[in-house]
Amino acid sequence: MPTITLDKKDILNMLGKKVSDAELRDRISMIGTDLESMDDKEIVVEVFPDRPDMLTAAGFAKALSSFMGIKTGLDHYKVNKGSFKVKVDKGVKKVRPHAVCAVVKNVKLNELIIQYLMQVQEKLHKTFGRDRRKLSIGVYDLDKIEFPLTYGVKSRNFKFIPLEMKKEMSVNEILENHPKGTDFAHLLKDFKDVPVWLDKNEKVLSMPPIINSEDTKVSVESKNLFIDVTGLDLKACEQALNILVTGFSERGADIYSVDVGGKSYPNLEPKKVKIDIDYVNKVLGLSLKEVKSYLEKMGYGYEKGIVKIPCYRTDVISQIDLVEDIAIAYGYENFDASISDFGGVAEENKFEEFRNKVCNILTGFGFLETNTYNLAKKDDQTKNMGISLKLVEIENALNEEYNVMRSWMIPCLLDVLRSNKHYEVPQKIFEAGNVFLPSEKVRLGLLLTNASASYTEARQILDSLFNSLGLVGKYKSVVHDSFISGRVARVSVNGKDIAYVGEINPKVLKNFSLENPVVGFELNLSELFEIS
Amino acid sequence: MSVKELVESLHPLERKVLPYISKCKSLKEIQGKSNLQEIEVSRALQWFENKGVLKIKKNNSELVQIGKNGKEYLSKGLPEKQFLKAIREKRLSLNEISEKTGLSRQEVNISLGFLKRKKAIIFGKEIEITAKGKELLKTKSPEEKFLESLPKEKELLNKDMLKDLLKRRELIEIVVKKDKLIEITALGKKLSKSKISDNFIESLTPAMIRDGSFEKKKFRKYDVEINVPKIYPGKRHFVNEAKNHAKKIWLSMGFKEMSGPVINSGFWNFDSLFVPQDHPAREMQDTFFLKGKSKLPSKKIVDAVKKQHEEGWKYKWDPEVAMKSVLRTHTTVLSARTIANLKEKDLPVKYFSIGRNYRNEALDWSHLFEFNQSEGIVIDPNANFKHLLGYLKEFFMKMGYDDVRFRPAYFPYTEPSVEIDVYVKEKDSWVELGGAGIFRPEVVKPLLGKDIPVLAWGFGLGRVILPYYGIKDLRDFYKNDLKQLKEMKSWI
Repeated sequence: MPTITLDKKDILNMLGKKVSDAELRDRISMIGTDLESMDDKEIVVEVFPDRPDMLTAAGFAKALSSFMGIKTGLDHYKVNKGSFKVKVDKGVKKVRPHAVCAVVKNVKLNELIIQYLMQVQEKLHKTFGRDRRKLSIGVYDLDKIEFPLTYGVKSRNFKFIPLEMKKEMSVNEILENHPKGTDFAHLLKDFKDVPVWLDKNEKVLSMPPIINSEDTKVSVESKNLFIDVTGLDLKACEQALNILVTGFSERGADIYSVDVGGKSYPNLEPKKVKIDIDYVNKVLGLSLKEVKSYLEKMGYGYEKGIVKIPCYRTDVISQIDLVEDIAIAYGYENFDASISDFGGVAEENKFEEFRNKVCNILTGFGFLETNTYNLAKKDDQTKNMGISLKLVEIENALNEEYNVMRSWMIPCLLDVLRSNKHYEVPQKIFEAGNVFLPSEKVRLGLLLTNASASYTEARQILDSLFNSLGLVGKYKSVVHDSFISGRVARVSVNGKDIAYVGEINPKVLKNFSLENPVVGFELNLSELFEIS
Repeated sequence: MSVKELVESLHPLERKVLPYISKCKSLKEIQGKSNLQEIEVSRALQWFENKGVLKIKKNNSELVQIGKNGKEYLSKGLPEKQFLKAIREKRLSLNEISEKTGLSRQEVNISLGFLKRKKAIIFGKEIEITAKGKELLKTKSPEEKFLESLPKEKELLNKDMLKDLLKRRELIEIVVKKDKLIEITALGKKLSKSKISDNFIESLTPAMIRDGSFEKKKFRKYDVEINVPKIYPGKRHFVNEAKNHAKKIWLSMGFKEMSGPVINSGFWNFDSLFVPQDHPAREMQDTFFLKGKSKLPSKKIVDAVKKQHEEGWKYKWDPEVAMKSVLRTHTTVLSARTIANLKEKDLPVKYFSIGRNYRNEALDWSHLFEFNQSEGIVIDPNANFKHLLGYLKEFFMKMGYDDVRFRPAYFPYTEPSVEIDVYVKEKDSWVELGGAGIFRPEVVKPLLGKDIPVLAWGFGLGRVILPYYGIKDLRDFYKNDLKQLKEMKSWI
């Protein structure tokens, strides 16, 4: 989830009220953001994906001010009628169909605001914009461009000077060599032509979603800005634009409309949703007499059962989303936490109960239960055991050592013995764990090692376990390459093959770097449960 | 302890060693005179020291002894002597000398240098012995005398000679000789003068019980206060002990246990929980994807979920994406499956599970790729947010946490959403455990057929149990260090 760094002085300025550190800490945590750290200079917060509007410092300060009761209710944003026109070429339809824009005048830029602007673009791109695929933002110095603009496409030989470069590069060169080009080239790889923003004189503004041009760059001297958002999802583009322009408006800038192919943007009118106070009370377990004051604390407007939702809120899908905001305004800490009257009848899963019983019996033999990963090392499961098996494979394991799901327990237990070689013998271990064949079963593996470990010892435990469960095992000599030939048995209960018991093959022991004999068994607990 | 008591508590070994402690000065000396094993003497001396009979001082000395090559040279003569012998009668070339003596080329070279320095030879194509050389053959060299004097303590030997000879390969070696010096105390002196009867019973035997002979003798007294070697019982793994404890708590609150598969379709793990198909959580870095596809559930449920996604998130829902097999990333998948199987008459009902989940993360102290989650749902037309907080608070109180804090949070499938923190005394700080909330109508309706409040939670159990066991690294849960497993305290 995105984390933003805010200038503490700036935030306190915008709050317009002196607030103690303790209060600030508490309120930031209780509004629905996660405070990572705070010192004299900086506040670092994690903003949840449902509130991208809080990724701008102004948006964050506005939400906090409202929540703290300093300045509550819905803000109205004025959009001045502008004479800016954008022509949209048909060519963009396949590549990146949607574009929305706004002009912002009289911005007071300084290093901090420019830093914020870069931060919010980066974070919106990353999360809300799904790494620029869903949407991407461009901000330009308005006074360096001439209207009307064109949002169109150009071939891959087309040249311009990309941001932070001194000379012209072709589109292909940018995609292959420029750091931003290589990061995002995959977003354009399926298209012959690439999207570009051009001004009246064919001056390049940007090549979305990759990079802006050097010519139209924003600096501290910039007074007026042009903003575009392009992408695959029109609604998301509009929301991102609204988040940015309302942020500038909060800092006193003026917003002007832009005509994009006949449609006027930005649209900063609130959306309206009905709310039912009984529903609110029922979900929250409260008996509120009104919801207006709570909604206003969260920046909403309210009139006669209708809630006005600010244009920058992206997360309000239905009434239930408003219920959460009312709960936040009420304060999670103010709820009287209490269990419901409904008692219910407890019921343990029968198999889990059985598994627990079996494990408890084995501890009676002085065995230690281990806890190993269900993800396993492929070689341990197969090659090192002297057998070959088809395993469930993981497509994208970050940890390459563990790249399959285990299909039996004994290799995992041998791995445990391997890592405990420095301790004295005897060592006696067991574990009932999930195996993937690929059908999921629970198998019980048990191993014991000492200088004279023998078949009889493992067999005695298995016999005794069956006896405790009221069952009898039948043993039949069998060949299994993981065990010593002539010292391994296939075990059946009620006619069903259910386990192997025997002495581990010394070749296997060598593969696991073990020096003492090891004996044990592998028992299908899921099937044993069915039988018993 | 009085001398009398002391006498009655003497172990048979101590009785055997006792006669020597006033006469001998060291363990080795006692060992030599008593014909006891070193370990027997050592143990007896240690017990004596514990009882204040004597004091032990470790005395490690370095002893120089003949090495592997040294032994051979002592019988055949040092290489330089063999060299001289070979040319006593006749001048020879170096090759011939090497052949005649069987000395290696290196040994020949070392001897050559040595003999040249001593002026014992004249060097040429063939080497000739001098009068001085012949003289040397008649007497024992200082090196030979040195070797013959071994073994000897290092301090007593000529330092320069020692240094020289140590340079020659495996001629001599230094070994550390461990010994213990003993110094008898006043109590010890009294004890050694006392009359020591060995008429004590060491071990009670069935025969003694039968014939009553134990009544005529005294039992040797044990030192019941000293430590004894540790033993440990067989044990459940401490994580499972904690899991069982948590399970008991949910059962005590009237919950039923739910279970289900680890391998799931993306449909159950994500789609059924209203997680859009382009959500970052579904991307490669967080989730383990398996080769192959899983089946989707009934068309009715699939269609209902698809409709909800397309209306709520405004995109085209793709069944192929939903069919990808994943290792469940949360036990919330069990909640979704359970809800989908419920009928009207089953309600209200409460379920829990404690199970393993899988996230594709690099291992470090606070991240595991497999971890346990405690999951719960309450499906009840009358349930509300207050109850949600109530169930969680009750659970954590029973797990030993008095302070629980609830903060606003975000999950795609709950609204309102809650982050649960508990106050950990050991760390003097709040620890974040995981999420809870009321399932969104967009989750419940397609699965259950209608919108009923479903209180839901799923938090990591690992962090809850760390402080109890005094563990700082989550990886210890899967370390399986047998010593740690043996010694770990039980969950009480």
